[in-house]
Amino acid sequence: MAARALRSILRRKGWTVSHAEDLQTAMRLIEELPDWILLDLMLPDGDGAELLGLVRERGLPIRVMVTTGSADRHRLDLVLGLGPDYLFQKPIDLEQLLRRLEEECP
Amino acid sequence: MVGAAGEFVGWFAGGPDPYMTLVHCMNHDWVWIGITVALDLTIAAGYVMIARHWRRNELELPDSPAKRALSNMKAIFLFCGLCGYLFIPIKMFWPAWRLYDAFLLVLAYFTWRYALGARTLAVVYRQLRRTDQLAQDLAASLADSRRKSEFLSALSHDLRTPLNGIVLQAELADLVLETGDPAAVRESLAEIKACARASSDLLKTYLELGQIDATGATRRRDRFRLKDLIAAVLARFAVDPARVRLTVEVPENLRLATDEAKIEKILANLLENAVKYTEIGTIVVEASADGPDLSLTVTDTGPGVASEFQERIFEEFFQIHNPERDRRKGFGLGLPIARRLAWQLGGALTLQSRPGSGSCFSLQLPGVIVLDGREARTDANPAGPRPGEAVSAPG
Repeated sequence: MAARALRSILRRKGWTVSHAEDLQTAMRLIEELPDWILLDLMLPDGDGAELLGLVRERGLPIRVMVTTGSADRHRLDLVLGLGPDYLFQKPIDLEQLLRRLEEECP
Repeated sequence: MVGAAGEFVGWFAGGPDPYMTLVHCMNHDWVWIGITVALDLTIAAGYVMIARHWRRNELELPDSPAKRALSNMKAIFLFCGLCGYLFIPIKMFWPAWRLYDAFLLVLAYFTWRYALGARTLAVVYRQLRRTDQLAQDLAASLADSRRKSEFLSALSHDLRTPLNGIVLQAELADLVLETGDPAAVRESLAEIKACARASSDLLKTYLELGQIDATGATRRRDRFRLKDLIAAVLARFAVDPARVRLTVEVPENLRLATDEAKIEKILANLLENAVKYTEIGTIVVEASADGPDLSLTVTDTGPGVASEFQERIFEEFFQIHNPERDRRKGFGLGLPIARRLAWQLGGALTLQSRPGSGSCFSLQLPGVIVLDGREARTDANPAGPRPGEAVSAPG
């Protein structure tokens, strides 16, 4: 429900947004080479970090913003090791998120 | 010089005539044999002292490189001491082996030195035992810390996720208000309410868990009919009879004398779990009495639980096949709560399951059945949470 709300907000702010509910759909969506991926780590069919790993491994020109509710230091370190562009803890600070997007993709 | 060397070789070889040498030894070497025996007895006595010490300590000592090294030394002492006896006849024929007595003398010295130092060795043993205890404590502490960390991480996630929904839906409602779309605002408000309810449910369940730890064992002895309680709990669940068949097989006159609220909570949690994981199939609630003891089972034909998860599902926040922590599947606190309550009532909650064949949760409660109008036991004997297994909610 939060993802749907974020999608509506971003669309209303003038962004073109595609939404993947699960990892498999997300894997397909990255073929369209979006500018940004806003990625949740806990997905119904796998770990969101896999997608980040895949983007980095293939050297795709996509910036990845990871969002997570996890407070597990070890897990966060592993994700940071994969090289996300930003990592946000939930709840997402919408102002900060929009500022980042506008700075990077004016 | 040559004469002296020849004499030494002759002496070493036992003289020019072996028969004469033997006679010579038999007649004159009793002193040598006596010395050897005395030395060996001295070594043996020292060895007895060491062995006593080992016997007292070795049984209790955990296996470690230090222990193995000490045991090897014991074997060396034993071997050298025995060699002293074996060499007595050899020395009778070959006088050169009398030199072995010099070695035995050294061995006797070290054996006694070692035997007298056994007290010092006891300190080593104590240190080894203490080190082992510390290693065990450290491992337990690390496991506990890891569980608490997982607990906190799951709690953090489960609180942050609905909070995230609330924040984003509120932002969306704010945006939508500007465009004047009341239907969209209502939709956002409904989502906000759902998120707030999810947070509230989690906090309530979490507090319940903390309360169980705080209240400890029960002393309540409410009297009630089990079948009535099961019917009341079942009424809360909306089960589609076309998909799930619910059966209750409980004797009409089965009356209990125990904490009704706790039994109700255990039943509710077990049934909630069964309903959640049985999309199509049957759920059977059975109860039987064995004298004063109650056996209650909740059996479902759901997906079942693999053996490696059968204990883990009683851990806080643990859920199988729910890595995304989808809250529609609950928080993963129902079964831990049910098990703790069972312990508090002096019983046990266990699971028997096979993947693909469903699960059977079995609640065993001793001495809770009312026999002919009187309680089976007047004094509750609650076991309480098992030491080391009940993880207190951190905070």
